[in-house]
Amino acid sequence: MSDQDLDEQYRRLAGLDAVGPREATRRAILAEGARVAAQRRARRYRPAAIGTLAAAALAGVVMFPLLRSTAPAPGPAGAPAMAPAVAPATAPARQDIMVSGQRPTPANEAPSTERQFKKSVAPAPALALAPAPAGGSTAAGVSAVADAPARAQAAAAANAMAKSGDRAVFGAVTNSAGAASDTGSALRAAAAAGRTEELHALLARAPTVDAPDEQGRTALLLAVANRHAAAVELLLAHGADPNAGDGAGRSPLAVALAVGDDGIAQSLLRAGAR
Amino acid sequence: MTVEQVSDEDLVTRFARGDAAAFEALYRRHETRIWRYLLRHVGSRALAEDLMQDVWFAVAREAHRYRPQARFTTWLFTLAHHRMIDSFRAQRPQAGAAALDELPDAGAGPLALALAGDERAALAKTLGQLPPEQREAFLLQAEADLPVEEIAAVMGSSFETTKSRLRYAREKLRGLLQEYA
Repeated sequence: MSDQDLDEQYRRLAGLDAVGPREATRRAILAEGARVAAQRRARRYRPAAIGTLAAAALAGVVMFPLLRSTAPAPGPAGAPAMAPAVAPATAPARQDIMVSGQRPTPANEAPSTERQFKKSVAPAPALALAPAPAGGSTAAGVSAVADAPARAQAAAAANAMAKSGDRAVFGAVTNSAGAASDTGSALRAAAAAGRTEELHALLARAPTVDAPDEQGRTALLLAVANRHAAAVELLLAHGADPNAGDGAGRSPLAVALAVGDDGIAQSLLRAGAR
Repeated sequence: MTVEQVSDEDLVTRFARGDAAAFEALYRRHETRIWRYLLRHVGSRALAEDLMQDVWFAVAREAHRYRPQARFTTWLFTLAHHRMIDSFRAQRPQAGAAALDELPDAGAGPLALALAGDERAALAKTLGQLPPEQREAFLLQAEADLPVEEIAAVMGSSFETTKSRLRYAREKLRGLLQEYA
């Protein structure tokens, strides 16, 4: 058999195999890709927005003394003056720098990072948006205002996933891969031991209820094998797949019949087990 | 230009800039190859599912580090290779599983084998008989279509060692598959 024949035979036999993972795995992967892409987009646009605001604030800081020095002395009544029109918007930023006792360093005047921006120039617009807490530093208020959009965005993304009813996707958004795997292990251990209170707590954290172990055993399958009817009911109520078998091809219903638990078998059949 | 015409390397760059469609295109393009590589190597569908998710999560999170000097396929299979090794090291027995282990294995009987397809079972058995390094080298060539230099880079071995592994793997497979020709 030549190398070419070997490759052909391998490809023919390989073509008989399953061509991909389960749909739940595929969905979780694509959801993670979408989440990371959204994060990347947010990172790309944030510096641009900060740069624009910083440039505007810097322009105000630089222009204010010039405008004030060139403003005409109070003239006749009704004559418009340029300085008062500009001063309210720019003065606080300038005051912050002067009050802190710092010389206007390049960092203060032209911040290039988000941190620098928050430290030097941001207080002016932040103070305008949210009054400083009485008797306290404005830093907390500034930080809260600056972080709020990011937190709101993350919460909205998580809520959207949760509303879609897809626990696998929600798990991917709210947990790292490692954390999700740990929760899956804890869930399977609780199901195998019939610890329903612990199961309740774990399911409330919205893990992937059907997360299998390395042999394909789900929490439901382990609860069935160990004849924990309450745990079985609880898992089914939380959307566990009644037909998710293990790597050896054993379905929950087959296991229920093998261990001779008619009650659990009935529960599985009611949930759509085949 | 449609997404299908864009190179892997450009798709990763687009994804690193926040294009979710580029990630989906990459995934669809390489799903089957990476899946077969993992499944054939670990021999367990459940473990392959876990690894598949781990590998692609890593692709998503590490894409910004990718540099187009290396082919995307080489980078992808290197990630998969490392994830597989980590997984072998971390494997622990599952608590509470004893009850299941006592039950008959539905996949072990001759009827199940016949139903699953005699040839498919033969392929799995044949690959399972190869030493892990030879099996991986062969799968990287057959499934990932990587040249010897890139297989060596993925596996962290020398060019000559990799060539020997491939030669031995092919010789053994040829003998084992002869009867199914």
